[in-house]
Amino acid sequence: MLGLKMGVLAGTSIWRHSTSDSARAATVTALNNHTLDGIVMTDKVGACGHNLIGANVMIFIGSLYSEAYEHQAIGMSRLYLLMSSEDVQGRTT
Amino acid sequence: MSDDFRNNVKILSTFSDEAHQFGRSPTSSQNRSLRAIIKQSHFNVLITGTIFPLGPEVDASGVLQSLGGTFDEFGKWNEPLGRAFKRMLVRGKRDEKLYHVLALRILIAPFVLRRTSQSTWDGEWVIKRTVARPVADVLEPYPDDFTETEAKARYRMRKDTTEISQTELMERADRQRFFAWAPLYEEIVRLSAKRKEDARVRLMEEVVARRLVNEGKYTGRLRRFIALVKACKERGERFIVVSDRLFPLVLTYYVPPTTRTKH
Repeated sequence: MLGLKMGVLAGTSIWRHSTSDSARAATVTALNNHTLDGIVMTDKVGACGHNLIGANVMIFIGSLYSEAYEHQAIGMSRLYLLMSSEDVQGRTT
Repeated sequence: MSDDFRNNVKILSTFSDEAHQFGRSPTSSQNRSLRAIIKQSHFNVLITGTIFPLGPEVDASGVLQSLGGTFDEFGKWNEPLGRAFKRMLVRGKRDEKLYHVLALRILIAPFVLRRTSQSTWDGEWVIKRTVARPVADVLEPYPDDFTETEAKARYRMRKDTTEISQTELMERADRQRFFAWAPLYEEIVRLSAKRKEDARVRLMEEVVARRLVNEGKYTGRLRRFIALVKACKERGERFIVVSDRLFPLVLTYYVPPTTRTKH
């Protein structure tokens, strides 16, 4: 058991996590003060002005289908793209 | 805006981020507020990575008026700049013979600062190398011929794609890659037709919770993901998992806390 504490930032409720503004703010605060080990979030929510300074690794699950979006989404963190080499070439598979 | 604000408040400067989202639309309430404020402000900056989303001919008028007010005596534009913008860009006044994108580019060049990670000023990088955008490490899945091959076979690319919309192409690609992440995605696809998004997410959660552990074998992608998360945990790092689709988030949220992998 890793016993990870996870949070969610998404426009749709995932695993019963609330999508309210206060719940989002609480998730961001918990990540930044190291209460959470990690969060899962959609790229759209990531563009809503949250300051996610508590995390130092971003993991992109596959492609965002737009290279421009990907470039904008990439911050200063160490970064991983989890995809096969074919995904990188085709960007859509 | 109240008279008190108009008469007694002075604003030194305004900085508007993601300005393309509202600066190009004269009718948006956010833009109306911005234009009211910039009238009171001495120095205004619009920040955006896409200054004219629909092209300068369509958007330049709105964006420039959000920056410096109208192109008449009520705006902040000096002559002959204001008159030139008015003739080129304002609907109904536009002189088609005068409009030219290169002429517009020359006119706006003095106050549009375009900087990339390669830009230099006075012999130095504008964006320091230490804060330049990092290059992502692409992690390939652990060897997993069964699901990778199966995913390609089930969701094969059609040879004739001329009549397929971009959305349909992306949908096929999503099904293929999500099947490669977890074959249980096929059940979700089968049962989720005509469901709304909330109901689809509930279905994803139910199927993931019911099948993921019981099937006993994780795919190469999931095992790679778990190994990465474990490594983060051991190094004391915190991570953010990002996707533009909900299924990977439902799946990856469920995996790490329980980590009931048998590998």
